[in-house]
Amino acid sequence: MLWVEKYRPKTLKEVVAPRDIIEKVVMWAKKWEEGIPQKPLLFAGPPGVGKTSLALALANTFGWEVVELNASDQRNWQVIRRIVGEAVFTETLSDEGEFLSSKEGRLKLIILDEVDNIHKKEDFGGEGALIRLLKRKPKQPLILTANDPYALSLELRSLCEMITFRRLTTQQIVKVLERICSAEGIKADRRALEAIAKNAGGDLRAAINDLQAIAEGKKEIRLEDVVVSKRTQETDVFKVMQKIFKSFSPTVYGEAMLLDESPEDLIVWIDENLPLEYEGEDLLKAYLVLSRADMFLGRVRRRQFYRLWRYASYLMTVGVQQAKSKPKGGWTKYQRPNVWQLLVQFKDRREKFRKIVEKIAKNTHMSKRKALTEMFGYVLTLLRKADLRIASSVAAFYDFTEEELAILVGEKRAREIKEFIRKHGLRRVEEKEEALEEEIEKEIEERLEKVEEKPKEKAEKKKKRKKRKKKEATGVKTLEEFFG
Amino acid sequence: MIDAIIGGEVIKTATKAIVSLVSEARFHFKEEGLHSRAVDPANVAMVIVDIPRESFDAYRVDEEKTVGVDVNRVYDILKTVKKKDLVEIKIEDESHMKVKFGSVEYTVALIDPSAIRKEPKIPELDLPAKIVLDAGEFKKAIQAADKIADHVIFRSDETGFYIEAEGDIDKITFHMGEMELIEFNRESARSMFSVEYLKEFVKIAGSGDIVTIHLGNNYPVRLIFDVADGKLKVEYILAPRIEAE
Repeated sequence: MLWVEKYRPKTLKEVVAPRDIIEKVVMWAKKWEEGIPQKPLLFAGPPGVGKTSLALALANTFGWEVVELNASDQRNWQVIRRIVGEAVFTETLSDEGEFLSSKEGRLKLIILDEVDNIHKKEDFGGEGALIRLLKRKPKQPLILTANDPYALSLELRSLCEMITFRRLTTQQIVKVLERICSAEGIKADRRALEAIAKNAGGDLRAAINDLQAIAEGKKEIRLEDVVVSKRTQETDVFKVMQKIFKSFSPTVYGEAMLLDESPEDLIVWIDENLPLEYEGEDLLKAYLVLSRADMFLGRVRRRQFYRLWRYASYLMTVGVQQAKSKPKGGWTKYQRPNVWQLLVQFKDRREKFRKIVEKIAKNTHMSKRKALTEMFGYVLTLLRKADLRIASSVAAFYDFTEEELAILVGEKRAREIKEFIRKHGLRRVEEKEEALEEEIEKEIEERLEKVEEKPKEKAEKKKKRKKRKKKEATGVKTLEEFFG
Repeated sequence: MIDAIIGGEVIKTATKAIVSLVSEARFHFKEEGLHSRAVDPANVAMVIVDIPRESFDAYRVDEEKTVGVDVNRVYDILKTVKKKDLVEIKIEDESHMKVKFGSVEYTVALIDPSAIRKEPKIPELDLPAKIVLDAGEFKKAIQAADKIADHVIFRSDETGFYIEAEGDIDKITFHMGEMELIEFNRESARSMFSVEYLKEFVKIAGSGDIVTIHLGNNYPVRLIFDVADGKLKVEYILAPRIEAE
């Protein structure tokens, strides 16, 4: 049996939690027992700090039935809506085969674990359903837990009373570990327990699991038994930045790997914050290394050869780290890269530019790449430098909108060109053709109606049609006009 | 070794009754027949299924045994069984159950009974009113109520038995006097229940079946269905809704 389950606190006294939290929760429960419905509680905090344990211990202490929906259950919003939705508005049949009436204070605690972790994709209306449910004022106590409460909507949070749990201190964890050791009859070196506790990074569950892995089946544990297999505790990008810029320790590579950022994102972070830390020659050297890392990233992207990521990551972390002669003193406020923001901002502009190139490519019958490399420059020069008449016919030929022209030649000239086009009724060649064709067909039809019985004239018309076609063909020549 | 042959409708209805609340359950093969019971995950309702030995066409149990069954899967398979088909259930070892019907033999792995949620004791309830009526009529009332509300009130007094549902703009009252009821002890009682559960319960019933209702005041209700020509007894216990004061 897992010690985590075996030594899960049974009563509130055993729970490791700050006094004020426990008092708050007890008050909440007492109100419920008195028949005054309370807002549901939202326990927020990192994993392994006793959120669920506190909820279970609370139910146990007050003798409430528990309905627990945890992450291991296969669950989705629909299941939750059904189970929680019914459970909070009905009386209880206990596992012991007893009917529990809420009027006698015999309640049922519904624990909805890790609400921030429920598959949102399956059902987008899900959170809304939970919100509606909470608005109907549950008649049974309800506790939600979440690692990241800010992943939930503001509305949902405002319907609950949020209680924030902090990471446990090493001392608190050591205390629990000592208790478990004595219960299991294990003689433990305090330093060993301290090492385990420190390694767990405030996560009691992790510490107990580590202890069990090390101590199970043993009579005694010493410091040497604690193999420091560093737990992957949460590090954040700011800590990694600090390590890169302020220290010389090459372990930063490993830490950077633990981050939930791809090298392509990480390099942007480093690029953004590098000038805040280094100066002079150091800065130059560091940027040289960073650019080399970027080259590797480029190769990965082009060739899909992800093995190169390793070199990129190593260069951008340890490489940049070692480029400095000495770290800059003091505290630096690292900045979130604004590249992504800029990308969003310029997306619009980029999109328009793409449209322009597309138009050039289409109307000159070439690939977009070729249009950009060979054609774009000429078109741009013509639009900018040529006299208004020519520029306007070019603009009309490519069918640029005023907005697009504004990007290419500036607003003033764009307006002039458009004005000119309107005045002289310039149109794209194809449109001319179409208009012509329509005219011809109309004419033919008219005449056909008039002289349907005269086949002779029909032949004539055919001739005429041919003539017209010739005329059409001349329309294409305007292309040469532009570049002639 | 367990070997039992039973009518398709009986076993189909029995599994259907269980899946309305849970997906896995313990089956007790006893001398006197097959028994199973479970509480739903919200601790609101309980289902108790009994198929007496006499309802089986053949029933051989070497020793009494409890097995864990993934009822959801079994019910899915049994859906195709016709009313008059015979179904053979065979358990030779701890690990598998065989279900045979027609030319189909379906084998499913059993679940360790200890891995299934603890089985409830059957509560002793003091319920004054006893109402016996045609299950088909009851079903109609619940299905109508489901259209307009999420809860209904069961009420009885000397004038008869009432089911009342109230929507935002509409209202349904179902009333049966003593003459229309099969049996009625004229006691008065009143409780409110979730339609969500009731509508699942009535799915197993058809007209001609009989339902016995034991009702109390803000107390759980016992609904006992005698279905499949009386060969199967399904009992539901449903906790009442908490009424706003």
